[in-house]
Amino acid sequence: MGEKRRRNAYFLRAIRDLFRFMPFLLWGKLTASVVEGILQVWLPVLTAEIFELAPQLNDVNTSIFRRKIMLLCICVAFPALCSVTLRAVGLYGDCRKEKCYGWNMYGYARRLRLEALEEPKVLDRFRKADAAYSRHLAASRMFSYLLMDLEAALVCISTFFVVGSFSAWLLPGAVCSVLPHLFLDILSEKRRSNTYRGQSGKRRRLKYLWRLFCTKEPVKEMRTMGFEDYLKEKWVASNVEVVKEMEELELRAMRLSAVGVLVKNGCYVANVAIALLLMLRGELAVGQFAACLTAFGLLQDNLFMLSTFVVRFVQSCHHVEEYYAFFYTETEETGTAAYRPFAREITLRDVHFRYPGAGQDALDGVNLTVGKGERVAVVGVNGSGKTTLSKVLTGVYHASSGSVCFDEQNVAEIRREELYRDISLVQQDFVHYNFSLRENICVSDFSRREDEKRIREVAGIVGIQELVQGIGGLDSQLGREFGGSELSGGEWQKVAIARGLFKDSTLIVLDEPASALDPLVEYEILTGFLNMIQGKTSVIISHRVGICRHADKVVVMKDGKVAECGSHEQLKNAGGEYARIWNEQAKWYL
Amino acid sequence: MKVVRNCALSCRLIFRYAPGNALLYLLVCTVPGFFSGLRVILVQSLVDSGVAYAAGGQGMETMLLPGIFLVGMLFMWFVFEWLQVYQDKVLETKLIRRMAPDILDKLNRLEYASFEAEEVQGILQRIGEEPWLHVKECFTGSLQAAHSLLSIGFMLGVYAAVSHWIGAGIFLVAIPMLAMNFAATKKLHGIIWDTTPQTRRIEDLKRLLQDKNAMYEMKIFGSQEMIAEKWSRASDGVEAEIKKGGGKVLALEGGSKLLNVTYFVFIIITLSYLFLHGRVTVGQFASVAGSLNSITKQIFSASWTVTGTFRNALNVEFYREFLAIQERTDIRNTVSPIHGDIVFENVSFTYPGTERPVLKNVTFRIKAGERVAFVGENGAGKSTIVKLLCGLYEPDGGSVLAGGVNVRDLSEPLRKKLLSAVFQDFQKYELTLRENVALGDIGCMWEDGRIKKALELAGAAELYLQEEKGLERSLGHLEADGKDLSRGQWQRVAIARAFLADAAFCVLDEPAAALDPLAESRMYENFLRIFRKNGAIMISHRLASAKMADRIMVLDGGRIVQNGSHEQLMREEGVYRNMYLAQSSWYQEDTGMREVVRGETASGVLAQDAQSENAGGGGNHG
Repeated sequence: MGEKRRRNAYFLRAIRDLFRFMPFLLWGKLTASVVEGILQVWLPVLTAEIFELAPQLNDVNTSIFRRKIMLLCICVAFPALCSVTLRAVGLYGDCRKEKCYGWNMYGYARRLRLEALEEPKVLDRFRKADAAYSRHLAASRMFSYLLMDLEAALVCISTFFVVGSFSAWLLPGAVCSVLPHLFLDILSEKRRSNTYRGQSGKRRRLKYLWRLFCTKEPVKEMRTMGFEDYLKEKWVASNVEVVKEMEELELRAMRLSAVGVLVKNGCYVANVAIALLLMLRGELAVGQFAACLTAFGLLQDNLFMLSTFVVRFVQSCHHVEEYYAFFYTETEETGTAAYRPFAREITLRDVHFRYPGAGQDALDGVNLTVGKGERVAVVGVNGSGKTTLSKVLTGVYHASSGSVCFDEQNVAEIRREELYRDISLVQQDFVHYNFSLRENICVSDFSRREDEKRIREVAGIVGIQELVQGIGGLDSQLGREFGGSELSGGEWQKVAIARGLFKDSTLIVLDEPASALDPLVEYEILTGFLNMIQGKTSVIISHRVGICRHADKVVVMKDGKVAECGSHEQLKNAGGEYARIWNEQAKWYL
Repeated sequence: MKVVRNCALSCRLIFRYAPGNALLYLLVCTVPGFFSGLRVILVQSLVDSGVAYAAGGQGMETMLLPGIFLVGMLFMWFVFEWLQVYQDKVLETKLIRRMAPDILDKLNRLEYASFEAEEVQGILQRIGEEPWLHVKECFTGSLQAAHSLLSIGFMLGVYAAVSHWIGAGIFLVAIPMLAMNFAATKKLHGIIWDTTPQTRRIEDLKRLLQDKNAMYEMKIFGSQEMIAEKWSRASDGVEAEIKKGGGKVLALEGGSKLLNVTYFVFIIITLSYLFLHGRVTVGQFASVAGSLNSITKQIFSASWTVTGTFRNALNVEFYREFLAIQERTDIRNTVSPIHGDIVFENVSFTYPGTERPVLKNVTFRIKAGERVAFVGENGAGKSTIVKLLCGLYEPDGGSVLAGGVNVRDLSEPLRKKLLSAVFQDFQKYELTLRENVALGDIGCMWEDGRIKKALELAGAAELYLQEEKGLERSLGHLEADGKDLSRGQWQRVAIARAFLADAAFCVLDEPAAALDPLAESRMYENFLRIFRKNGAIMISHRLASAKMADRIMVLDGGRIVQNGSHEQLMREEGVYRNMYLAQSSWYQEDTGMREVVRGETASGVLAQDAQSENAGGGGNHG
């Protein structure tokens, strides 16, 4: 029941959005369909009347005949012109789709919880919703098919009426030639979509494997290590499974539709024979007989359309569901209290955090205080929870228990955007924006994108002045796909650091800021950088423990807990986890 | 012309992969093209003989014959339609079975350089993930278009036989009508083409909005508004382009439809005029007037199928381009290497399509079992050496030899024995843990012991120990129960792959970038221990790896400027010494780095040192 109610909700929402986004489309289509529908319904009636009249023309009814012919002209002409309106409406839908449906969805996506993007389920929902509107134009097609269906159904009914008016004997045949076939078609389609849905995992795998063969990085490994044959066989094997299911499905669908075709044909043949018989017995005029044949033809055409459109309507409905289901993904909850920049410290009290679907906590009771203006280095082995800690600290991840407070303000209660305004960031997997270089740097504080002095300053620190010259200025496009220059890994990293520095914030979080840089550059950048962040509160995550010597406080993470916390000297002398890590690395350099 | 050529190509391909079904499809698709016209003729004679029968009570036989024919034909028609739908699906499955593996083979035969070329990337992207569908749709679409045109043509012919006037009208109307329709289609494609840059921009923004890292930055930086602005600019661009071109499309289509309508009205009026004057029989009148509705629909759908064929033919054009991509030239059949050394002889290399030479006359020899590290600044050409070594590119000058044989000529098994690699941009395969490791040596797929050992050496034993499914756990997001690993964990898996391969030389390009200090240290030690017999070629910004190498080669500007052991190079003034000092200064307890960095006058003693040394080093080598 809940399922059904949700579906209805989707449907209503789809119609409402259509009205909102494409009123022109909706009304245009509606008007064209109504007019066309009326004419189409009238056509069989009119044709029948003309044919009845034709063999027995005399002075009286010739003028009626002429008038009917004129009406026939209109009946035939109008739908053809309507199709132009439909085309116009289609183009209109095309040009509004990204603007309305696209942004509707992706605008919503901006507000999702960050953790959600870790979930395969959400990513899948993303893909489906995107395809639903961009490839399948779900809502507008659903609406069109609905109208077309109604139209075809009405024409069928009007044809039943015409045929029935000639002789009641013809009626069962007419009805039987339509309904079973339609029913079987829908049944087949239902099976088809079920099978496809069941195969979606396998199909995703096939596509994934296929992409490996087309992408340079995996090809490089494939060629060097020689495993292309293995992947190919894997593709072929999983492909055979999918194809086999498809073949079985189609075979069954074919058998089913054979039944439909036989019933339809049988009825049709029977009806032609009955009409012929009736005419021979004089119960049907020749004109009526001709009208009958025309009506049968019309019925066939419309039946074909009816079943095609019903099937497509059902498909579109699925797509509409997929599109609107996306809006049920949880969004970030934000507090209501205003945020005051913190003056004393950030405190984490017994913070726990668990990734959705994970078996254990990534943070397992973290207690930590970061004083204002303090430089904190976080170290620890892979998977010890360093990055997670930083994300909880900045408020993008919400602690499942415990609290994160900026002075006395609990992160859970303050308006998140205001807090974010006070934080800057350099990520380990920093983002390559295919925008201009200026935008790549200023994306962190876009309102100051014209602040040339500041841009020069940060460009100086990370040493990209030459790069700026080399690619033709700050406003040149980056990213080869968009006809811009492509930067090397190291250059991108410098840009990412410049980005983090550009934003003027109280707190800055750096996650492995220098992993792709060569030693000299690393040295220069980190030194300049440590100077620049004087007075800022900073949290630096790094596997290069050398940097800890320049930190006020070193935090050692282990298994989601703070194992040690103190200054470099203290911890080193304590001889615990930190001393072990330090010695392991330092021995190579001493 | 292109359209015809591509349709022909798709026919050839279909007939190659599924000749029987293709023939059947051809039959069931084209023969019904005559049926609409035949129906007109049969209905006409049926009605006429009916009228005669009604008037004179005779001619029962003349009536039965067309009646039986009509019923028989209609029966055939449905059967054919039904077969067509089925064969369409069968063609698809046949192509997936037979054509797709051939495409994979072709992909494997491409030169690696092609994958880095933007142009080829464009082609690969445009043939899509299911290229066979384009081919199939081009074939079926063009046959359906042929069917529609045949059917319409035949029907109009039948009309023309009823009256010459109607026949004459066809030429006056049908030809400009078709021309306008095609022009409209072309224009429509033009619009789609014009909006491509904007659409790609939107696709790029979508990528950002689905990426967790980008989303993190967006939230913190509050850059959502900027993204929104870009989205609205791009989508407005699309809207403007479509509106600009859309008017013309509509005018052309409208004109064509108007002609179409005019012609039908003309047919109806002519027909009724002739009928009223007794020059057309009731049968002719009824059959033609009765079929007008069906021909309107056919013309309407014909313009769709023809348009669709144009589009499909365009897609097949991409496939044609794909087939034309040059295949690899390496021989890959030499069986026995003479000895195990790797030799670069005067190797020069410039990436295709670029100006700047990356390597200039590089010569060196790496003896079997030797551990060599390449050191140099970002962009000095280190990774290029690796690519040449793996035979992924052919050098412009000089030769790259392994065991005295050009590396590109080594047979596949031999190359596997000789080389394995962990690249900087190592891949995260969304397969099981077992497969991820075993890709290093497919032969070991089911040797649990070796796989576990490799994982253990790479410091990733917890990956199979902590999970219930052990080696069978799936990594990545592809499976519902799959889990993504952290970058450091993925890197360990990649390293385990190299351990498993156990090749004579192992290439490690930045193997420790994402590893924690313990794992990094353990990895170096394992390499020292396990790869005692094997050679290693390492590239790293972490000079610890260089220190443990037997020999270090320093690259600068595409040349080898220093060559020697750590001790030797530390005694020389030069790039290496500067780098090493810069990096080790982070770990020197006694140099007052902390104060230097914190102090206001932080010009950096060391940075100054480094600069002066740099100048000195340059003098030495200049």
